[in-house]
Amino acid sequence: MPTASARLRRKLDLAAPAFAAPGQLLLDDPDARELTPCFLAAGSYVTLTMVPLMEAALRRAQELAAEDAVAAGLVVYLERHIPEELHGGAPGRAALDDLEALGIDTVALRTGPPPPKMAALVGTLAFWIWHRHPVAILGLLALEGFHPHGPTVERLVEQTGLPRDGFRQLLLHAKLDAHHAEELHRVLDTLPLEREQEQLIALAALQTMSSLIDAWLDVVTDGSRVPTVSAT
Amino acid sequence: MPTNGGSNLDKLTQHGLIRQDLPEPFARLVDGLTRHEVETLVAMKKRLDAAGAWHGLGEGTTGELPPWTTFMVF
Repeated sequence: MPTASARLRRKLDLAAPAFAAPGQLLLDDPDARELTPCFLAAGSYVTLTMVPLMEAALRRAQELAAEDAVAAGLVVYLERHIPEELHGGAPGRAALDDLEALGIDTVALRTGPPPPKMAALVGTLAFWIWHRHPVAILGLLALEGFHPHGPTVERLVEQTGLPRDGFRQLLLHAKLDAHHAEELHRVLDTLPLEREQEQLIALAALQTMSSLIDAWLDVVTDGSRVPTVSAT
Repeated sequence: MPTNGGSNLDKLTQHGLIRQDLPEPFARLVDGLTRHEVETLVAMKKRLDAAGAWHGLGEGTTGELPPWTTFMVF
């Protein structure tokens, strides 16, 4: 009998080629230098909301924990994992620093209206956390298994000629997220998940992948630009 | 053993995501997907089709993943 983490990975593997396709288009594009800051900014809305979503899941799990073993296990995991994601700074600060190095106006990015597709994704995840079960957060975190690949990031740096400082978090997470993904799989296999909860986790992961694919393709194929890019 | 029929297989075949005579254990996995999961996969396929970038579903590649082009910090 496969474990919960194995079942989840098999489902996500179905979508893996699709998830990698926009990045391959970026690498192959002769305008990769111009597109890359917009591409990274498009995905940054998920990065910037990960900790707030984890904190929401933690609060909801704490409310349920007394009578819900899955929620109780989730509290233990999130209380340990949230500080790891902060990397000693404010949520998303390091990712914003990288975007600034690539010429993104991060003040405008944070204070302007988010792209509707990204807002819809974050809202959907928050709804599931509050109104289905906070374990939905594990679907988002499961995507740490699709962490950046260090040599491929190096190729993007070389190809674009953009400042290396703009890729620090990608290079760091190429190392960190492999460990985070392994830890998450152990948690998945420890929690007494019901079938519906496993399905919610998988759906949250697939929906996040689908929304990111959509946002990235807006950049690499449809010419959508983040209006906050300055000349680099 | 190939699996035929079933609403997931029908829907995914109809949208060109899979072929009808899927081998096991891939067929069993697809059979076990929920309606929402199938709809999400179909949406991905349609979006990538529009961009000319659909290369098919992964089929149980866990543990043997190619170098990723996912430029994303989670």
